[in-house]
Amino acid sequence: MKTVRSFYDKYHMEIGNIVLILVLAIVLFPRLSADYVLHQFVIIVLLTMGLSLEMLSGVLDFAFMAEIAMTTCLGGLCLRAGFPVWVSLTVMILAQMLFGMAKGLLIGKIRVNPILLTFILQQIYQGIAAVFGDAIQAPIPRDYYGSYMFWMIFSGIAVVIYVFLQLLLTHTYYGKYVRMLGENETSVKNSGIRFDICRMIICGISGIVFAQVALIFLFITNGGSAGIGRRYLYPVIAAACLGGINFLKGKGNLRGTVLGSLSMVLLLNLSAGLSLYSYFSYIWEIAILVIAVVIFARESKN
Amino acid sequence: MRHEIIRMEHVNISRPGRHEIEDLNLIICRGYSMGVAGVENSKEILADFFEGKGTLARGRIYLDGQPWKPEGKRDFEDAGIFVISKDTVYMDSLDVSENLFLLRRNSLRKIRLNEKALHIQGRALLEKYDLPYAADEHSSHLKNGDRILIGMVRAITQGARILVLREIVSCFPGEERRKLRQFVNRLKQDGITVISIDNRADFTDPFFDEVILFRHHTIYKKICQSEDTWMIDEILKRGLEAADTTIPEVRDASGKPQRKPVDFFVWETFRDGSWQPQISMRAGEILAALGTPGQVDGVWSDILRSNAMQSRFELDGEIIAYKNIQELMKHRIALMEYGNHTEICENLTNEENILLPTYPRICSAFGFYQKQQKYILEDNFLGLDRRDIELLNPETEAWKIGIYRYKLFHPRVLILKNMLQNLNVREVAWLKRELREIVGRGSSVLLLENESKVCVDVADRLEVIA
Repeated sequence: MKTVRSFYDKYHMEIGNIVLILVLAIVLFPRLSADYVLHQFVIIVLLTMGLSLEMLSGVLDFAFMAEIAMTTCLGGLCLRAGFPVWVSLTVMILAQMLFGMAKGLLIGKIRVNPILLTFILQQIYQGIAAVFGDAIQAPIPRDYYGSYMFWMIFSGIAVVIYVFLQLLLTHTYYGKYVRMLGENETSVKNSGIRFDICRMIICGISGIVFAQVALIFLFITNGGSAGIGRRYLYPVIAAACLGGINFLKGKGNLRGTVLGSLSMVLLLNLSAGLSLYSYFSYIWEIAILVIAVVIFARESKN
Repeated sequence: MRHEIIRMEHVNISRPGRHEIEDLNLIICRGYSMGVAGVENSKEILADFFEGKGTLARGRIYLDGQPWKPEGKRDFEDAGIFVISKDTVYMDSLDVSENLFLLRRNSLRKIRLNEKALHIQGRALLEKYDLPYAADEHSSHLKNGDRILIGMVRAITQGARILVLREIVSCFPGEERRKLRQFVNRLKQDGITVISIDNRADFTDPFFDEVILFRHHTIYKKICQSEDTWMIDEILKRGLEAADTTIPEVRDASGKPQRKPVDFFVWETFRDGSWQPQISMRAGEILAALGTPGQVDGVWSDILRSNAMQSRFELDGEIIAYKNIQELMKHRIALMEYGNHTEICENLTNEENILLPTYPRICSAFGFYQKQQKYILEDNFLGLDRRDIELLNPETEAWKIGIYRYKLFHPRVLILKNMLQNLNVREVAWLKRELREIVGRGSSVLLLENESKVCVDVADRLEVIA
């Protein structure tokens, strides 16, 4: 009994997610498109992994989709200006990393509530993207959305990133710093660790993960726009919460993140599958967020 | 001859908002053990200084024979001086050896974490100091005392030469104190100096090499083990003044006859299966409850953090089981701590701050009127000049705003913590006058203090906290 109890305590989030996935898969099975689920899953799992790294370090980020929108606009501009594809993609990855590092540095230095700061950054980035590069059409020769190879490449990238982040979290000093920052930033500061630099590096790594999604958006939409991917903001946060990432205590793991992403993809399909209005998805997302915040706050208080 | 680490000559240490320590002369040697005690804030200021929070106002400090002017925590840590307090940093998400080696200034160039090496080193350290923890143990279940010991080992691995133990003895109750004693003795053998800033000196065996007693913000007496140890015990256990203070009987100094011969207000805690009265007062009385800073803090936190199961008040025969301060305010039991005026809002004027808790009683349905404000402050109740109120500095005189506020609020019981001991003679006289007015209107005042000398003048009755 004790073993069962300890197993449940350790894996209850995973068990819950697996049950949810099975139930949703059974409900949606006749109407589920494997391709569509794969596409959605690759995008959401990449975003969730990047966001989870930030959430584990105690930052609930609302600016990441705006950063991605800005990066796609930048990539589109580069391609339209005639830069080679590899140069444009490198610029996008570097830009996304720099956005992340700037965000981390600001959070570390200014010490404003990260939620507030990332909201402000979101508005700034969206404004800049709208002014300089909204609705850019890039000269991309073929339709990548339907390309099987394209999605396989990004699935591979997602696996590589998963392994990389897993190693980072378990076998490096920075992985420990992520957990420590998430648990108690004041203690980290008092113990003499340069927490602002650590936060900058962590957000920079998240930026690189987000950059992969910016690349996907650039190719499948043939350009960039200020509002690109805005729809993913809350589902991704909800997916991280479903995966058990506790941003108030630095707890959670990547295994949960992957399962949470899959649950979220199926939940997003539920509205379409049951022929409900798409507004129902919003309700589920926000309900998940509210429940997660209440649970995390209670855990944190205990 | 012992190697001298630090020498302080005629040093004055200041801390914003507190009295200075004056004319401090100290020599701290290698492998030395020193106790620092006192019933004022002086020892706390000294601890703050070792944490890099105080300012060297006058005098000279020598480190290893060289003049030294520390400017922050980092300077002290570089010199091998670490402060260990009950809030010592500890992370539940890390295991014991990670807590030992990661919570420190590390090079950010190091990326790969060799957990095996970390655990081996951690195990060796724990064995060296006879600490019964597993290096790879996930440590959320450890007690506060264990976490402090791990914090001390962490400081040693960072090259600590002097460990300043700041009021940690209370974290080692009963048998656990033996663990602390053994650990401190082991440190002394290794040549590490231990300075215990605490009024409890009963955990060392043998006794400290020297105990410094602070009084009136300077060193009152230095006592060595060979002489006057009885005096240390006596003074530390009973407080500097308690030993020679005759506690007066109930006086009728408030100028009003006692309205009730029985207790009007009782604070009770739930212990050993029953409610036990801790402090009892009569109506219209000023009572000073005296104790060491730890005892006063303990009583205060018991009152603040209380819930219906652990602490309650009995007020005029009515049982008040409360969960938060708001519920106490509903029963007009007001609390105030010197230096912690979180209830004073910076965005409001002093007048508004004074009137804030009284608003619901004097406000009309549509808001508050200037006319009534004037009537209350100037003409009828407080009798204050409104210009004088606005001249009060909310940073340094917040306590005065608080006293005015509660005078107007007319609490049934007003509990004040560490108020008298932090005021100068003129301020004490002012406070005494105000408190007399407050009790003259039928309120009772409870003063939680750790210096009896000033209280004798102000309070009707003194009680020593058990």
